[in-house]
Amino acid sequence: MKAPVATAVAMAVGIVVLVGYFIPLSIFTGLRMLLLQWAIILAGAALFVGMVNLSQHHWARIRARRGVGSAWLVFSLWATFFITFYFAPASLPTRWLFDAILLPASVALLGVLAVSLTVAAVRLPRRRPGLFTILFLTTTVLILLGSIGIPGVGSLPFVSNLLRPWLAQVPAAAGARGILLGVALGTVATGLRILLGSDRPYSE
Amino acid sequence: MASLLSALVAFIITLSVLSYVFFGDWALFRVVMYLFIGAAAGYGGAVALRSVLWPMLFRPLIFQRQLLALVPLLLVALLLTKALRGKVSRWGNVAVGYLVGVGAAVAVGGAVRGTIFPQSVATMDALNLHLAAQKGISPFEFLVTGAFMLVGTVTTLAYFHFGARPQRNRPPQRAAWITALATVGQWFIAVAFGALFAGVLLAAATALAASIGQLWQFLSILLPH
Amino acid sequence: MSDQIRCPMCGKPNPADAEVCRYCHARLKPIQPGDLPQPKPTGALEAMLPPWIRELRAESEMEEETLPLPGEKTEADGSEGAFPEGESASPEPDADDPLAALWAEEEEDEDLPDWLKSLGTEEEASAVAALAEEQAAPSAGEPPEAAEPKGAAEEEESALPDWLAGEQSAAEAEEAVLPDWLAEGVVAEPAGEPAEAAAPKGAAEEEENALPDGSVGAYQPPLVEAPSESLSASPFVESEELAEALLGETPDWLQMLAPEEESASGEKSPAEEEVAQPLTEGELPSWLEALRPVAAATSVLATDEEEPVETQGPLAGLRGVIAPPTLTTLRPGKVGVLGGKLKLSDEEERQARILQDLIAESSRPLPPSSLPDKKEQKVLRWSVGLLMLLAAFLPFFLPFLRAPLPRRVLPAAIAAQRLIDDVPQGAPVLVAVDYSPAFSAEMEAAAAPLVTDLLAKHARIVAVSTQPTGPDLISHFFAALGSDYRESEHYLNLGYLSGGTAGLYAFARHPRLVFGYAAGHDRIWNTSFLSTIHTAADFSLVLVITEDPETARAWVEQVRPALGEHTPLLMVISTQAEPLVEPYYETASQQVGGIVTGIVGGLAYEAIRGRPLTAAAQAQWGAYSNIALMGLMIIAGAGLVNLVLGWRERRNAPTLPQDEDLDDEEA
Repeated sequence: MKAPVATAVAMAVGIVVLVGYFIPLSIFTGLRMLLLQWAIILAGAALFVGMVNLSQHHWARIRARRGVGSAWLVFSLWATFFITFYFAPASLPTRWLFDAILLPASVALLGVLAVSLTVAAVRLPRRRPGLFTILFLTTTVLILLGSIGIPGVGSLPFVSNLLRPWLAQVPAAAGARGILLGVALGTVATGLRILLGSDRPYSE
Repeated sequence: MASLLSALVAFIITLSVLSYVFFGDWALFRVVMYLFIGAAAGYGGAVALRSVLWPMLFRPLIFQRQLLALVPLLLVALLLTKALRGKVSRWGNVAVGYLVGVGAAVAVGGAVRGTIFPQSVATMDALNLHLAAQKGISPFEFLVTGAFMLVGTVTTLAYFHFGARPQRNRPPQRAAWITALATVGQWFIAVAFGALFAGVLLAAATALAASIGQLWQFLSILLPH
Repeated sequence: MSDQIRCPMCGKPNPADAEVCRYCHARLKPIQPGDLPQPKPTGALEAMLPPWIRELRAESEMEEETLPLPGEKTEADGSEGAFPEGESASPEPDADDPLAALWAEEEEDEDLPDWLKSLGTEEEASAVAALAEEQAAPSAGEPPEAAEPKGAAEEEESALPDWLAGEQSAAEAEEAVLPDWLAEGVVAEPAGEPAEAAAPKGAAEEEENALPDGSVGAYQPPLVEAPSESLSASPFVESEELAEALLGETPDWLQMLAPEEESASGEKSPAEEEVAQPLTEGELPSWLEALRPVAAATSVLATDEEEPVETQGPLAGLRGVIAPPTLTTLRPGKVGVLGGKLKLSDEEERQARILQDLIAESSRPLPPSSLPDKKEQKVLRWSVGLLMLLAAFLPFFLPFLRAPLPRRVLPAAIAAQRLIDDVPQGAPVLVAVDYSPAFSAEMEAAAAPLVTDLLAKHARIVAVSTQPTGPDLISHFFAALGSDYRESEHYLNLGYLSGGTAGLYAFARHPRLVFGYAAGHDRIWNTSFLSTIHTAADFSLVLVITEDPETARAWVEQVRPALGEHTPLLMVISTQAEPLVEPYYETASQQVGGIVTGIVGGLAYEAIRGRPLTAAAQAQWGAYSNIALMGLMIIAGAGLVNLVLGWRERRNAPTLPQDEDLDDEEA
């Protein structure tokens, strides 16, 4: 058996937390909250470990003389880390970093996605000409048309007030409900496999 | 001055990132990406240390001498071995196992109580005419909508049913009635994904409009009125 | 089952007339002498030959006619004996002929049990007959050597062609250099006694005689050293001398099993009797079926000399320990060819085939037409990018290109407005600023009207986020609402909530525990914002602002059950999350009490309130609308063209694999 200790830990804490969901006994409630609190701490530590890992990876690239970009990344990483740690999040310096670097870069990246998605949608029917492609793109076009205004015209009444809401709230929502249920059932199945020890994603 | 500098940096960064559309993964874009990734990771690490580890772990341990905090301290130490190389990093599996176990339990409990039961009940209520009066819509409209919802939900679920019967000398196949339902479900899925795709495109369009607005705002400061 | 034969390599059934296995493409029928290239009729050219050659040929033909060999030896084959079909079944096996066993095979075949016949084709059965001959010899009361004594072998030599005699001489020359003890054994050792050299010789000869196809003519000299493969004793090869040659002294238990003892008693062993019983074809007993793979391919492998010497690994220096990959050295149909093959059930075979298909599918190259053309893609990206950027910039220059503001009535937005209205003055409200910074433009546009209303009601807003960038995201959000709103005065920034879904679950039930240790937060819990808060249900309203359907689902699943009936959950979401959040709004229990979706939802909410938009907001709406409109036109126009092109390409290339099976690199 791979990772027996980790498996035992995962099963034990998982079962205690899960039992607490359905059996509201005080003994479970207190223990469960304690376990959850530790999980919150661990999740924070995982975030920190992730940062250290990224730094290590790029540090190795620097030592191998393979990346000027890596040096730039390591510099920005540790500079931001020390500024944020010293001045505290939501302070003036971190607000400056957030407003000048983090926010515009991420917003612009999402903006580029608009172009990429349009290109992908254009190429799709050539790669996969078929009924489902037509249905997919027709829905896309109708939802887009119902969500915007046309210069000089405004919103198209029928599309905006009837067709788009109906599409989004009936067939799309029906499909989405099926997807949600499917995802939830899959989550339960995967979760139970983990809790029963048959699935061990934490073992290397 | 600080705000002007911030606007200038934001302008350069926005322009560099948008340049990807025309020049692809070129030098300036990469420089900005390295800066962005480094800043985001450094920020996250500092927030984790300052907002989580310090107040919830180190402070109680050092100033309040809560010995129970030694357990999460041990788990954190084990997790930190993940950042080391070699066999010692295997010790980190215990901490990861802890996180996975808790996460799985919370996910299972939440999915059962928050999605499976309520959404199943909602699907069953699709043809419950008592609700039509509550919502203030006509019974006919309610029934049509409810029928769509019911058929859509069931057939979409059928599409995700991957059970198949073994067949002699032939690959396993789904039952015929499941296949028929799944075919109908595909139509609903196509519509749902079309709506999702349009939503992502609209969100991206909003972001592009915001980026252009930011560029325009900075240019309007520089350009003579 | 007579219309099917089993592949000697993979064991799967094939039609009897198939040349090669349809599963593994191994040859099912060995190349027969008759299949080999036949001499072309060259009678017309005879006259062109010089006289001395014609004389030689005439002499040669006369000699061949006098030979007792039943087959004809062609010139083209040289040393190989190629025999016409139909003549291979000689009625009279010549005892003096070392190759006589070959001709005797067909006759022996007559005596073979049916189950042995069914093991292969005619040729395969003949190969089996050679083995049966081995078994038959001891049963006649003679040791294996007796069937082919040394003297007989010497007589054979005289009848052999020169080239074969030469080979034999070479073998004797080898014997000559053997040590005395070994040479003695070679010459005179009877069966049943240690005869390391002699037994292999006899056995090897028999084995060689049994070799059909290419090995037939290429008669190998008897080898002194026994083939190592013989160690894997086949249950069908009960050659004692072979075992002795290999094992040296015959152990007692093996002597008890010795065939001559059984034969001496004049009774067949039960096993033999069982074997001799005619079984219906295709009805092999299970034990025999199970034995088939065990029957090693010892005798069918080429001699040691032909096998490669291992040069790597722990087996370096050893010869023939791993079967060479050239399958031509194997005799199809010979019992034991399946040595080492796993016995698979039909289900396992089917699964293996599926795996093979999957691997083949994944390694199948993409058809050229479906590979992205980089140049074409670049042009497309440039065009789309240019058009969209132009569409976005123009409304800032040209106000008439700004689309009019929508006036829509959205039920979910009306529900949201009611929930906001229901919040009492100064009541605590939890606001989750839980979106990625990338979506800040859309989320701020959508949520600003609602939060502004809450601030106007002097709601005690407590802000929290599960995003690591949450603390500054919250500050940025409230700063964007206006400079009048200050932290700790109009709202409280709790910052980052770690732990994902687990953190949400704990926070909804024991928020003090989650943030209780925080430095300075113990004071915060005594402020007006949080003094009355012990669980999330103590808030008057929970407003979640998120772009991620997964985050929205986490709030619904983990927090909603803890809110009770009096605290509604209101959501401001991105358009990309709408389809997946809508079902939570549609439930009778109203898991989500109201939804404001994207920039359109924010505008609809403002429209309900009757508030005018600022010029900046109008410009942003214009840019957003134009970008989306441009995207829409491009998708509809170019998509239609591509649809036609795609269909045409498909029609022109019917063999093109289904694209559904291929990865979409753009996905």
